[in-house]
Order: sequence, then C-alpha cells, then structure tokens
Amino acid sequence: MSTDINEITKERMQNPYMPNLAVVEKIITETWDTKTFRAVFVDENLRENFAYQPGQFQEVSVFGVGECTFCLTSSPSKKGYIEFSVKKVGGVTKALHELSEGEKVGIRAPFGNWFPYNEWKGKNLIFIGGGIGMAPMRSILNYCLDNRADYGEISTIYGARTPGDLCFTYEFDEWKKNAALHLTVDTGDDSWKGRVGHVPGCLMELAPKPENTIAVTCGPPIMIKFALANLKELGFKDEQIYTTLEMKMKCGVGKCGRCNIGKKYVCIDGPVFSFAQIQELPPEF
Amino acid sequence: MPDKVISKNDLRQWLVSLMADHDVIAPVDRGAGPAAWKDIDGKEEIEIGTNGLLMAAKEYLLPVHDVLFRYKGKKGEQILEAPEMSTKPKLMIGLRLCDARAISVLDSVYLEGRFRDPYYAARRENLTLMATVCDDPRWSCFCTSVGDLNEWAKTVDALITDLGDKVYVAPVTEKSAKLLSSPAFKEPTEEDVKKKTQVWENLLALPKQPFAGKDISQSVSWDDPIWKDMADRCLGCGACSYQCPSCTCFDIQDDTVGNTIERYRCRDTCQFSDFTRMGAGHNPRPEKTMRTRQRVMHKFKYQMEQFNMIGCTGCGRCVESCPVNIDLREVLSKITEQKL
Amino acid sequence: MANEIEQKIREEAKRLLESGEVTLVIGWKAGSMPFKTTPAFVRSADEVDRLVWNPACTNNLAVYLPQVAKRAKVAVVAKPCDSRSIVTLIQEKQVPRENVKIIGVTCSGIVDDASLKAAKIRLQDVHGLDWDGESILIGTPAGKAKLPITDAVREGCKTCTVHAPVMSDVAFGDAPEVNAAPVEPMEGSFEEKRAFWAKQFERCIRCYACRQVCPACYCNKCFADRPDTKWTSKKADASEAWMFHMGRAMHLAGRCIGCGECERACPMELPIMKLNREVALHVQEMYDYTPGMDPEADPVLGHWEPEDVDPNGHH
Repeated sequence: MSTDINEITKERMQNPYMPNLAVVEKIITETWDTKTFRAVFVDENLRENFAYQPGQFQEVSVFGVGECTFCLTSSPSKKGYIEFSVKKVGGVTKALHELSEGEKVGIRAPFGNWFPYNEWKGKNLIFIGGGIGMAPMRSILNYCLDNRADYGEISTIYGARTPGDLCFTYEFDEWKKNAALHLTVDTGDDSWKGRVGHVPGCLMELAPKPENTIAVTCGPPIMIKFALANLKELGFKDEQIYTTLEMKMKCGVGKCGRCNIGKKYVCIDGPVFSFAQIQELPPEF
Repeated sequence: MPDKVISKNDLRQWLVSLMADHDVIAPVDRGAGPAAWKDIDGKEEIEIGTNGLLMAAKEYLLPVHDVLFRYKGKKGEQILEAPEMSTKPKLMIGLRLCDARAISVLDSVYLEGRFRDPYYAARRENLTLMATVCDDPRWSCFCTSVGDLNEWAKTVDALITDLGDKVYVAPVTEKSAKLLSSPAFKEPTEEDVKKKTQVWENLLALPKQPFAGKDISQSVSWDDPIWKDMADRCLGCGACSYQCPSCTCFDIQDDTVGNTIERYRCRDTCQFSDFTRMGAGHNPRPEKTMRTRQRVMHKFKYQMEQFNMIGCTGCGRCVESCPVNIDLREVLSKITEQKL
Repeated sequence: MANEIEQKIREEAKRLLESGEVTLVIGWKAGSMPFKTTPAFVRSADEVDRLVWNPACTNNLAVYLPQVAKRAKVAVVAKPCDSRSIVTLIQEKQVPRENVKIIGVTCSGIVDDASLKAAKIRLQDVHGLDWDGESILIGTPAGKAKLPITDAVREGCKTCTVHAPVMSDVAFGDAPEVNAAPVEPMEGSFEEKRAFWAKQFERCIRCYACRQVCPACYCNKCFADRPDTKWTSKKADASEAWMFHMGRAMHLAGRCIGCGECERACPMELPIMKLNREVALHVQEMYDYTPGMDPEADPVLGHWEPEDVDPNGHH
C-alpha cells in the first residue's frame, strides 16, 4: 500500500507547493471554537482517486490569508471526501471559521507518515485522546473500526475540559459498537452524567493490560506527559506507544526547515512516532 | 580537456555571445553592499574577482522571495498559475569554491528526499558552474578547515583564476569544455600555468583553524555551555542565516497584488523566535539558547547525519555579518577544545 | 589612555560583582581581531579582566537591558550613546533605573572599518589597535599606521556633540574636545530623494539586523512581523522594504539617539542613518527636542501641547 501512495504522490506532486481546489461541502460546528470541514476536490479524477493514510496531514489554503497544517481527520475508508477539524486560534483558522458551505479552499495533501495499522493487526488497541488531539485519532480509530475483524479489543478514552468541548459527539455511537468508549471531562455540568476527571487518571482506573496491546495518545503536551507516565507504570513499552508530534510547519515537504528536530523532519518522518522513536530525537519535547 | 586563458575583454564578449541561448548569471556591483547575483544582459559591470563581498549563490537559486503561484479568483472560476521559469541552459560565473560546496548542500535539501523542489530544480538543472579560485581570502575565511577544496573543485564545471588582465580557465567537465571551444580562448603560457598554480597553492595554505568541520558532529553536545554564551550576546536577527550560503529555511506567505493573490516564499531563520511558534502559542524553542544550539547542531550534526556533509562551507559570511561579532570559528574552536 | 579607563572599568566591575550589588556586568571584550569587539557578559569577579575599552567598542549595550534588567540588578558599561539609549529606556519605562548601575565612559568616536579601506589597510593585516587624543594607531605588517580620529570614526561620530555619558553611576575619562561637524539635511528634490531610497531599499534582505541591534526597537511584536496586518509583507522587494524602513524611522522619531548601530549592522550597507538623522532634524526643529538627555522629560511624541507645531503645517 505504501508504494501506491508514493506513486500517486510522485505523479501528482510534480509541484508539491501547488494546492488543489476543493469545495467545502459541509461544515460541522463541533464546539464553541472548533469546526470540522468536509471538502471535496474540484478535479473529478482527484476526487475519485485521492488516497491517503490515517495519520497523514494536509496544508489547507484560504487564498489571500495563507495556509495552515491540519491532520486528515476523516478515515480513508470513507471515500469521496476529506475532513479536517479546525480550532480557531487566529490567522488562517479564523478565516476558515468564517467560510460558508460551497466556498473553495486549496488543499495540498497527503503529507507525512501514518499509523502502522498493518503491524497492529491482531492486537488490542487503546486510543487516548484529549481535546483537539482527538482529530488525528479519529482517522485511525474509524479506519480500524471499519476493518474491525483485523483487530482485537478496541477502546477509546476521550477527554475534554467540559462536556461542551467534546468533538465528534455524533460518532460516539459508532465508537461504542464492538468497542469501548470512555468519556471524561475536567469539569462537568448539570446534564453531564459521565465521568469527571483527567484523561491520565481515567487511564489508570481502566488499567488496560499491556500484553499484545498498542496505545495511541494524542492531546495537549501536559496530557501526553502524564498519559505516557501512566502507560509506563501499567507496563507498556516505548515501542507499544504511539503519538503524533505537533510542530509548526509551512511547506510539508521537508524543505522549509521549520519542523526539524535532530535529523528528522516532522512533516516527512512524522507526524506519527512511537515513543521508542521519540527517545532517539533530541529532547525538544 | 586542455586549460585555456582568455583576456578579460574577450571574456566579456564571450559571455555576451553566450546570452543568445544561455542565461548568464554573474556577480554585479551595486555601489554598496555585497555584489549581487544577476541574470545579466551584458551592460553591467560584472565582478568575477574575489576581493569584495559577494552574496551567496543561493541568491540566484533561492531568491530572497520567490512567487510559488498566482491565484485569480472570479465568481465561479479560480485559476492557479505557477510562474514561468526560464528553461534555457544557464551559466553561473564568479562563484567561489565555498559557494559551490554550498550548492551541493542545497542540492541535498532541495533535490533529494521524497519531494523535489520544482523552483530550485528549474534554476539548478542545466546550470554550468564556473567558480573563481580565491586569490585573496578575506579575514573571515576558513574554508580549508571545514572541507577539502580539491573535492569541492570537482563539483564545478570549470575553475577560473584571475591573472590580472586575463583569466585562466580550467575545465572540469565535458560540459564546460564544450563551451570553451570559442577561439577567444587561447593556450596558456607556462607563466600563466605557474601563476594559477601559485594562486591555488596560496589558497590551500590558508591558515587552519583549531577544528575540523566534519569532526564537530562528534564533539558537539546538547548541553554545551557555548549555547548560553552565544545566546547572551545574540540579538536574534537573521544576518547570519540570511547570508549563509547553505541556510535554506523559508516561510510561505500570501500577498495581494491588485486583484491577484501571490503565494510566495521568503527567507526565514531558526534564529527568530516566531519560527517555531505555533498558532495556539506553544513554542518548542522559546529560548535563545535553544535557537543558537539549533543553528549549530543542524549544520554540524544533523546535516552530517542526513547527508554525510556538514552545512558549513567556511565562507565567513556569518562571521562578518554578525552585528555582535559572534565568531563561528571561535564557537567551533571552543566546542572542539572541550572534548580534547 | 586606553588602558587606564579599561583598568577602571574592570575594577568597578569587580567591586560591583564582589559586593553583590549586581549579578551581571555587560561590557565589551576582544572580538575576532583588533578592529572587532563583542559584548561581554561577566558574571563573576575573576572574569573582569576580559573587559576592554577601545574605539572598536561599537555595540550599544543598552540593547540588552530590556531583557536582562527587568528582574535583575545589572551593571552596564556605557558610552555616551549607550547612556542616552538607557535614558530613553528609563523614560519609556522599559528599564527600572534602580536595577541598572551605569559605568560611564567618555568617547571620541567609534572606528569605522571603511576608514581602513580608505587608508588601504586590509582588515586581515591589522594586528593591533591603540589611540591617543587625536589619532588611531593601527598595527600593520608595515608598522604602525596613524589615522586622525576625525577620519577614522564613523559618519555619525563626526557630527556627535555628546562625548561624555549623560547618565552614570561612575564615569571614567575626560570628555574629549571635538569639533562636531554640523548635521546636514539630505539634499535634492523630493523626486531625487525618492529615487535614491528606491535604489537603496532594493538591497534590503529583511534580516532585521538593524532592528535587533537598536535599543529603541524593543517592541514585543514588530509591525513588520505581523504579515496578517498587511502593513508590510515579508517580501524583500524595494517597496516592502521601504515600508519597513520608513515605518521604523517614524517609530524612532524623537527616540533615536543616533548611535548608528543600525547602519553599521546592516550587511547590505543601507545608509539607514540618513533617514534617522533626517527625522531627528525635523523633531529638533519642530519641538526643540533632543532625545536621550533627560529621563524625566516627556517623550516628545507621547506628549502634546496646544501650541505644538503641526507636522503637516496646519494650525
């Protein structure tokens, strides 16, 4: 499969700086500051044949404002469109939030590596996500659920500050089918009947067994730090734990130098890293 | 491939005649500041000597800003156009050997790996390099301490040596030998050969620094106190990296020009605090110590690991342009010293 | 002359560090060669011998103060220029006066590399630098070359009238007698000046060395680093560079003390001080104000009187 991607990449990426036009077909308001955009390529051939892998990212343009990096949050098992979730922090993200359905954006994709889901076949998977960190994990989670028979137990721990900060609520039923979903919030409200507490604490309560299990964790650095410590305490080895690294990017193609850490470039060698791989990088995280 | 000599006047004529089917890129004096690389039209005073300041060759290969594409959007119709690039063969004359070495580094970054940079490639492909052998190294020069000039000389198409009223031209590749078939190029005299050999030997005799560039990757350390020493003084400008012949980092921005949107890239540097600052404010390299470390480690360790080549050519431009006189030679000496 | 002041700087630095009055002394130390110095950050008394004083001590050390003197007690060696920048920083509430010990030194000008070129001396051949009241003495392979100070110093030093620090806790050296040349406004018509600057700005590479060496350019976020605001794009073409340099010159109106560091730092040799001098002349004329002389004075553009001259000529 990887060679396929590279072939397509090569063919279409004669000029990797040229975006492809795409129509914003649907905008889902996830929370007060986050929206998910469903985009469809204008070029028919690209729309049909665009292939990517869970964990890869894209550069999205609002022409005249600029470009910004987002992970592909949709699963490649869902064809015909791509999705990305945007937290409004200013600049391009603000411009994206101001778009209406039917307007056009530019997309350069797919970039970066992906989760090694083939190596994970037959294993149990535990996804540990916090806040917007759920966006890159949604792709791999949905992919694994769409190929349910290939994997053992699948469980997800997903936390946010408040119930109102939880994204992808419309998919929670799917995430529970033949799998487990544990939601937690830092601060509940009157309508919240679920768990209250931080993600790493929730992880300890559930205490998944490390045998034949892969843990994937994405979220704010502080959450990852504690989730990682807890996973280690539970007996997970660095090789069993994966994350996506976040680093400022511009080109996405390993040239602009922004996401350089040691001899690696997050945009080429990442964003997906196992903690064993991260140990080999200079300690910039 | 026999060596040739050509009078300076004939060289000029020859370059003009080449322009019929070539882009000729040469250093042009601007009255102040370093000479600039220009696609010349034959009217300019070109500077093939090596005494003055000269912009790094990346000024041509990676212009200070480069339009990636133009976007025109009307109701219902959007056009994205990449700028047209010259497809003519190109001749770059008057670069120095350190600049030629820098081009090898740029090639590794921009042509190799999963993606090839089409803008760089368009300028780099079919580019003949005629490098000038330095006859008067500047006070900041330390090329012989970071590399083997004999090896660097093999990466160009011809070496030229300024002999005063004429120029000695030694072809390195068939490509340049073909170009030199013009009758304006004459047989060198014994005296010419002696003179150019002397210039070469003088250059190789440039006093050595107390470090060897390729060994820095072994001695440099993450916690070296030198980062703090540099960061104390460093003012966080981009003079060193913008002038560096092998620094390649860039930013991408949009600009509105009339009713067209231009997406361009422009120089950027790991020395700016904004370089790694993310949208939501998190910055993995917020301290100056981290940024001075990144610049040195990237050139001397990470690039060594990536390309088996260090990203420093000893051209001395950073030494000369640093407004607080942070001298890379001193930094490298200290890094080496501590490990002895 | 040199060594005496240098010795006093070292003694004072030692005293301040040993007594614990400060934790850091910022001065100059020897650089790549006799014509170069580099800022020195001295944190212990046994390192004070690194400190030097000579006419190559070019950096305006006030530039470091907003970063280092906000929360710590520091000492800084200050030429008259540096002292005027410190005054401006105190005036603009960027540096608390009580956190800074100013070791003032008198100055007869800072040498200019270009003067060597004019004297046909190669920088790499210089092996010594000394000076007396009137001359710069340059050690070369051919012996000592003597250049009159007035020829050897930078353009801006030739018109300088402030040769002793305007604010200091201790000051060393006697103020030299120097006949300052008058500051001349730029000549030529509006169109000629425009053409001149268009040509100059073509060379700008937007490295911001000018801004970063400038003690008055302490903004947390420079307008030039805000491409989203579209004041100026990051392109290095003449018109965008124009916007940056003119914007900077305007922001320095009534604040630039004329040390000339921006122009010296420019790797493209842009004559930036021509702009700053022009603006300073206007401020002087309109408001009778010289920046960096009095920490109690209201910043000239931060203050308004009904009888102030309208720069556009409307009353």
